Amino acid sequence: MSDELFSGMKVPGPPGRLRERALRAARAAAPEAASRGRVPWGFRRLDLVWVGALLVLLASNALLTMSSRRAATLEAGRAAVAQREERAARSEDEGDLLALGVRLDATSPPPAPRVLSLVQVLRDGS
Amino acid sequence: MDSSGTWAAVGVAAGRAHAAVRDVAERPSNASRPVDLAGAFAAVATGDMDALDAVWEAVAADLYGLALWRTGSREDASDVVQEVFVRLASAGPRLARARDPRAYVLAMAHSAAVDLVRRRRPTVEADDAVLEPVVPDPGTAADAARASKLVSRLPAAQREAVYLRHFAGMSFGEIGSVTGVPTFTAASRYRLGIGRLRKLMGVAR
Repeated sequence: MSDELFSGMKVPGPPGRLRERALRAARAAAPEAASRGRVPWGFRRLDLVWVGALLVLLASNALLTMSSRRAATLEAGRAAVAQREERAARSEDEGDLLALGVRLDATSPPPAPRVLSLVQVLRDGS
Repeated sequence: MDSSGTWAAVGVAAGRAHAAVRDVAERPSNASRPVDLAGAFAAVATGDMDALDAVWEAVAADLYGLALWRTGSREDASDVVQEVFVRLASAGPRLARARDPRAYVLAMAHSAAVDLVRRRRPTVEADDAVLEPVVPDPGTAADAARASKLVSRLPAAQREAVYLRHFAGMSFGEIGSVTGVPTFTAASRYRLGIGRLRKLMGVAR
């Protein structure tokens, strides 16, 4: 048995002054711990900061997503309107050109302004 | 006198003291103190800091011994004990949930001692006596001093396992939970440590 290794010996006990020192330090630390316990729902301050930061992050993400979606919708609407106007103008120009005996196929670029003004002059003249 | 003769003489000369030490060493853990300690823990958990006195009575010697064997320095051991009591006072309601209060505070001491040794400057010598004679006697005191030197040659983890097993009377499972290692590792550390000590002291198995 290993007891014989330490026969006649013991482990030194704590020094006499240590008790007072340690208990005083512990009691001084206690109010700080108690104030930590007053934070609602048992959260510590750092927990609250962490949760607050997370909420701010989520709210910012939601706001950015909403605003970018609205901007995309507006842009798509403008593009659709512009496309429709262009298509209407093109069909009107095509009608004028057809009256002069010119035919545009589907892939032709829109008539140049100078051509259109010529068409206008011809139409007004006739 | 050769080393085996020294140790044999110590064993004979301090027969009665040896029996007393063995009683302490073989004291089963959680024998009589846990009820008081659990009550004191519950009181401290509700903010009754007067209950720290009862905690001190129950565990201060074990805490100091563990810290001394782990750090090898009386000053560091004092700092560890103080740190443990500060942590206890700050722990709040968590204390009431501790299943084994004694193992809980010893685990705190282990953790505080490991932190302290890690922070300590490497130049600091930490070889204070970790053993002293039960009966004040110049011969036994010299043997205790020599034994302390030999103990300090063990790795810290083995010293700690030997202390917890031999002087705090803990099982290997309890040592494992205090030091945060599996039971097998705790047993292995103890056996390696005690085997090496036997060899250093020249004691036959």
